Amino acid sequence: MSTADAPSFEAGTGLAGNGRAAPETDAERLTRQDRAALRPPWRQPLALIGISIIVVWILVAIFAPLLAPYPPNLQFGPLTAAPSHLYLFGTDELGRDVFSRVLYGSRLSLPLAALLVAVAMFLGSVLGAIAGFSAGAVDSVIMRIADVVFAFPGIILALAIAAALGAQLRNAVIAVIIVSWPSYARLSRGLVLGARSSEYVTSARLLGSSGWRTMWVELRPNIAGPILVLAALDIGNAVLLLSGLSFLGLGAQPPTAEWGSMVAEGAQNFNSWWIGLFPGLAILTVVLAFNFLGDALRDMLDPRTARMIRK
Amino acid sequence: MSVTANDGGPSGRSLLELEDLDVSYARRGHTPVRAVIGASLTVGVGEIVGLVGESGCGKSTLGRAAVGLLRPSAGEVRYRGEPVQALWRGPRPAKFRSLQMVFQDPYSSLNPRRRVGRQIADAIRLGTGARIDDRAATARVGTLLERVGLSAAIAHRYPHEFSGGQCQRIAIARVLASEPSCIVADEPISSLDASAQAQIANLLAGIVAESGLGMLFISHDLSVVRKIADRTIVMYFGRVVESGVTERIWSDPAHPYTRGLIGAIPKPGAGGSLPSELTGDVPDPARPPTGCRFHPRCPEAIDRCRTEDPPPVEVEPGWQSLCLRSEPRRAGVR
Amino acid sequence: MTVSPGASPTGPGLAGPAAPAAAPATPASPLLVVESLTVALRTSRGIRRAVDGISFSIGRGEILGIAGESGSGKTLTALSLLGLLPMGARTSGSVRFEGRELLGLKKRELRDVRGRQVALVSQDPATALHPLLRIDVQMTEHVRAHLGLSKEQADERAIEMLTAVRIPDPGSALFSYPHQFSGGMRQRIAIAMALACEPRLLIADEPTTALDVTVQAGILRLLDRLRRERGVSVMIITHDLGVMSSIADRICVLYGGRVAEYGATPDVLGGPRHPYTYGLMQSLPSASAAGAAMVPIQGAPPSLDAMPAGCAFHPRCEWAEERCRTVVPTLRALDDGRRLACDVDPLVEHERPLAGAPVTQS
Repeated sequence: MSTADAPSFEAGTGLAGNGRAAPETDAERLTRQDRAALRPPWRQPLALIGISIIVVWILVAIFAPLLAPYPPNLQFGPLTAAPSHLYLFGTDELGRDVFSRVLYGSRLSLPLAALLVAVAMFLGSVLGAIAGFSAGAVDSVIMRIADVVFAFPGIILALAIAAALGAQLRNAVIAVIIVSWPSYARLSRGLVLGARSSEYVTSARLLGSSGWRTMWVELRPNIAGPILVLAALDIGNAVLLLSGLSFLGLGAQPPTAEWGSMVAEGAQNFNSWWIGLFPGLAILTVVLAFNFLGDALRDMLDPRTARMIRK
Repeated sequence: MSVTANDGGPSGRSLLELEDLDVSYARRGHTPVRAVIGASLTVGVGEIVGLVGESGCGKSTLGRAAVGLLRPSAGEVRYRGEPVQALWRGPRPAKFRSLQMVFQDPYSSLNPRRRVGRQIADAIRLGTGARIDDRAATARVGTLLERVGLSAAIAHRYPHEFSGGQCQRIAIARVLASEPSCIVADEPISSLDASAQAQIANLLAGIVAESGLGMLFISHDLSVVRKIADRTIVMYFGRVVESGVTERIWSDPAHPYTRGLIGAIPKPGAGGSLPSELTGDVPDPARPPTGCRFHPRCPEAIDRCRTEDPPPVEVEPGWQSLCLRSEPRRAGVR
Repeated sequence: MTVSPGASPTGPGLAGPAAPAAAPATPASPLLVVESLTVALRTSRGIRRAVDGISFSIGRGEILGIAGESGSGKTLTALSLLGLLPMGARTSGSVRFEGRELLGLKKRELRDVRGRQVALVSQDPATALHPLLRIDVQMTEHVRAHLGLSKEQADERAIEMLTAVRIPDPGSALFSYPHQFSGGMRQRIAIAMALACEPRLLIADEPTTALDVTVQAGILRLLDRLRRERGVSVMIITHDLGVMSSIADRICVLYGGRVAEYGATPDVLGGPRHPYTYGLMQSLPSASAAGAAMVPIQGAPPSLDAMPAGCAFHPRCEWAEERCRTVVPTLRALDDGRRLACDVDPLVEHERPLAGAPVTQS
């Protein structure tokens, strides 16, 4: 907390003479609360939690072979054994250690989700920028395609695409990309439309900048921020969608240790609650972490709050 | 029909010529709005032409058409003798890149997310087509910044770190980077506070004097235009109503609107006399009055003004007034 | 209304307090007395005084001009009179309106003063009026709240006000929407709204800055007429010295949150004694010869975070001396009735100012 609380207001200003100051009002207290909300992400509790969780999971993914007590696919232990000191999260119906499988699952979900979002972001924002900048027929075509995708609930469409392509993890990734890119396109198009009539764009064009150059050099720095925020929020979503597809059998195939398919297994073995719970918690923590981080990033990038933070 | 502000400047060569320019905005289901009607003017080498008028007179529209940001509905804009093509899809042709614009709001004319030095360097490369390496670019950027009164060391900063006046200097430096021959300045000082206004006006006037540029200085602030413009053009409701040498117009304006405009300026140190009022309002552009566009507000209107569109009257050589009641004067004699 | 330039207006001129027809400022019973007003704000770097010990007064039927650039504290001064300061601002000093202290008033009491006795017209005519409400609704709402009139009575009053501000065809104007009017008309309507409850004091914050010069002339003449016909006092805040000169009886020049110079307009603008006032007058385009460059004051007005020590103007002052860097000048009375806050006083022609007792402590 800042030190502005400590000395009294009058002492700070050294008001003399007729100094009759108004008593502290509700307005004063609000200011302090507002200021708390505007601290940068590394000082905001929620964002810190989010970042910590993500960092932990990244480390887990990197060091899974060292951390996991058993190989993930080794059908070694007792079947459906409850958590114990030997098997921290218990074993599943094939005798595999759930703990190790959860750890190894991070090596799939996280990188794939990140890759997926990166591709969708790039594809979507470029298409959206072209639509916004060119206007006319190009704009209509691109956005109508996006509208078609938007018309379907994400999971349903992803399901259909993954099923059509064949039940494979690679196809699940493609399906989620196809489902995700329109949000970036729409956002990017809106941002470009807004920025396109700015005077700095006009200035650039008066200097002789071509359309492509204008988009890449002038517009990109101005639209990158909100798009990256969307991406951060979206990674959690991507993890969820991928897991969902795997849950339905359309993503990762057995015996791959993937959280979604593990949850599916758990659904078939309700009495052995540990089989589904722990992978489910893993998904939960990752998605939540990215949501916290995304919210904090969005606050940071909102021009009004950002200015106050920068001061 | 319009007043031709044709003089060609001190050296007689015109850089920028507008001839009978019409700029209209289309409206769905209605007749188009004519923002500029029959405007003609020239800007010569080494001269500053001031374009003044109030809201709705069309001066900004004219400025943008002059630079090629708007397409004329009739008439022509010529830069160095070549018709100016309006900006459309492709990059602006190289021959027009020396015709540049300074905008009103310095913060929006600079890219907020790029360092100012980079933006100026871009202008050098794009505007002049020069292929220079980074070191040469940095040196040139430094020179330009110093030319506009800033330190070369600020090139790595972002626009939001500067005040309005400094940003406008940076914007001017960027325009200078493209080695312009003619600059259209659209209300370049209106967004700045009082001290900065005078500084930037001085800067622009200095640049023209040194480099022999031509400048079209658009402003609603008549006092500043009076200081720096060699010739002044007065617009009202889309038309050029008077044009001529600045001091001549100021000391004895020929057109009633110009008289009203000058009379309305509150003069400091005038000992408390209220400025004179010009009654009425600018008419709706969709329903312009018949005959002379100024007649409903004109204290000197006669019957003919309601029906006849006034032709330009040459008050003196190089000085024209768009009024039925203006008469040629013998130079120097009232 | 005559149009020819330079002709005197069709009403009495506006000289200083000696003008016969202007409602005289009676120092004996001034309408508003501000003493040592200080407004402190929290910035990220601590607490700063945006308004620092300002004192002035406004008489009945008088027009006082508050002149200053950005950062001078002029707008905050106006807002503090109405209790409209931003969250976290703290005030001290005294603001007495008709003898009644305004600072520290409870909300309910303030509401009685605000709008009813002291009204505000602000800069942007586009945002002063609610875009979605009809004019009659906007104009009658607060009149009915303050004066308890019925709708018909309030409408009549509104038409009366619209006529007073010379809106053509007030009857149909009443039932129109703001977007149907031009900027100048909207400002007139805003003034009519402000006058509806017949306030004693009208605070106009940059009322004509956003308007064209011919429209501005109309608004200034309107304000002057309202003062003459209705005895309304006006506090006009602007940076435009030409406007000040035309309409203000007295002028208070602010710099860095403090009063630099304060006195009758012809004295202060005709023969400025404070280097800042002098610099402002010199920087006007009309002050330098045609063809010569303008002479702006070098540098820029200080921001709240970077207020110089001592005299706020000293970094830009060509006559600054050692003491100006450390000692804040006190506001002193001069023998011509004006007040000056400058310890060096370089512009005095022949005589030294009377060593009058300092008027207020800064």
